[in-house]
Amino acid sequence: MKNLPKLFRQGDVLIERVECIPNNAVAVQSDNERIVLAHGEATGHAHTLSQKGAKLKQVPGETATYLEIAEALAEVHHQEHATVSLQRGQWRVTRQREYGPEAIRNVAD
Amino acid sequence: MTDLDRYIAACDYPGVLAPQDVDRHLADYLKALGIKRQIVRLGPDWAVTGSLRRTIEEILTDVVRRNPAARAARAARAARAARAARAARAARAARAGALRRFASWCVQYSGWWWNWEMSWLAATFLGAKQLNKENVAAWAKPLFEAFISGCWILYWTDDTLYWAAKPTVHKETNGRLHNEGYAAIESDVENIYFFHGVAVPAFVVVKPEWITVKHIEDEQNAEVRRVMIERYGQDHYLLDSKAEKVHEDDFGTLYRKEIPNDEPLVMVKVVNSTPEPDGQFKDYFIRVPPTIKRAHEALAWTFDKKESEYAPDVQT
Repeated sequence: MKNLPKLFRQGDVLIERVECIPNNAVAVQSDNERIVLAHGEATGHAHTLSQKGAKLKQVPGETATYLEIAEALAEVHHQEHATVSLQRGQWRVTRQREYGPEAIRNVAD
Repeated sequence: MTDLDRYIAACDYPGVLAPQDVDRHLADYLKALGIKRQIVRLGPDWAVTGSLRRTIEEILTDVVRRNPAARAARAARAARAARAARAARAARAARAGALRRFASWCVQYSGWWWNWEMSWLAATFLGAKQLNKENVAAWAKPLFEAFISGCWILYWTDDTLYWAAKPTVHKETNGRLHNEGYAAIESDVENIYFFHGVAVPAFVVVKPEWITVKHIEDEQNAEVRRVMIERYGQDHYLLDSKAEKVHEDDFGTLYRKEIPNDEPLVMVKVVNSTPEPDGQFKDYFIRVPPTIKRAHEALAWTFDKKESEYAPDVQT
């Protein structure tokens, strides 16, 4: 496992391998067959992966989300970025943020 | 429906507008006060005429008398106008425009800030009822009914009680006044423009392409300047105002622009890892806290990481 990539960036989303997902994380329900990691604000574009063999979880009150991948490989797609392949295991997903004098907000591409 | 329920419903502007009912209730109000006035609505086509004009001219004269700088400015303007006889007509038109702006300020803002705003006045009736103050209710009840019928602001002159209808109000979900394309307060007297709760000149909202670097740098109010920079485009402002290039590395370029009486604008320019359909790689800017000194540190911050923790194996 040592030399496998651990930190991926796809546009405004950072995906990093973690040892484990916090115990208090709860599964996030998806409406259809896709898991959406992040929606674009204006474009309708999104970072998505198939629900087959993947679970999205979130710790209440935290902005980062977690992915549990049971398949050997799971592909994260986006309309404007090349596909990223995640190996089996646990991952944390962080949205990119930008600073503002009044509030820090998420970037959305 | 209780009077309190009616009051709460009437606070959702603009709501109902029944001008004849407003006139009738205001007539009852004047009668209760024992005062004689005409009742005139300042509608969408209002003009600075009659006793309104007299009152506004008096206020203007008083302002000039109390403020020697304004007097000097007016004298200088008058001298210029005398020299340029051909411009006299234009000057008269400009003065009429200025008078109307000043009049709308007197009516709307004095109404607003100095308690002739009806949501404030009308509430007196609820208190009078609760405390059984019949002498207060006698004048407060007709005011309350005028508010329910759509009256927003009163303005008194020596022979007339003017009134204006409630405005249409645009807010964002957190309650701040905001409208991206037009006035946030659409009033018959004067439209007022707000951007995320900050009152700004109309062009900042309606014609952001008119904003220049000089406009931004001449603006004294930090909040208005922030809105202007946002409307101009933070990244364009950074480049057009000749911001300092602070640091450059493999992750991007860090720019910093000092802004008087406000925190500096610090942004990192990064190049998209995926090419556009035409094969070009697009630059984009992300604002970071002003304490950041290096491009790598800036990009790491955008993902809540320290500089030492941020080195993606794959970027797309």
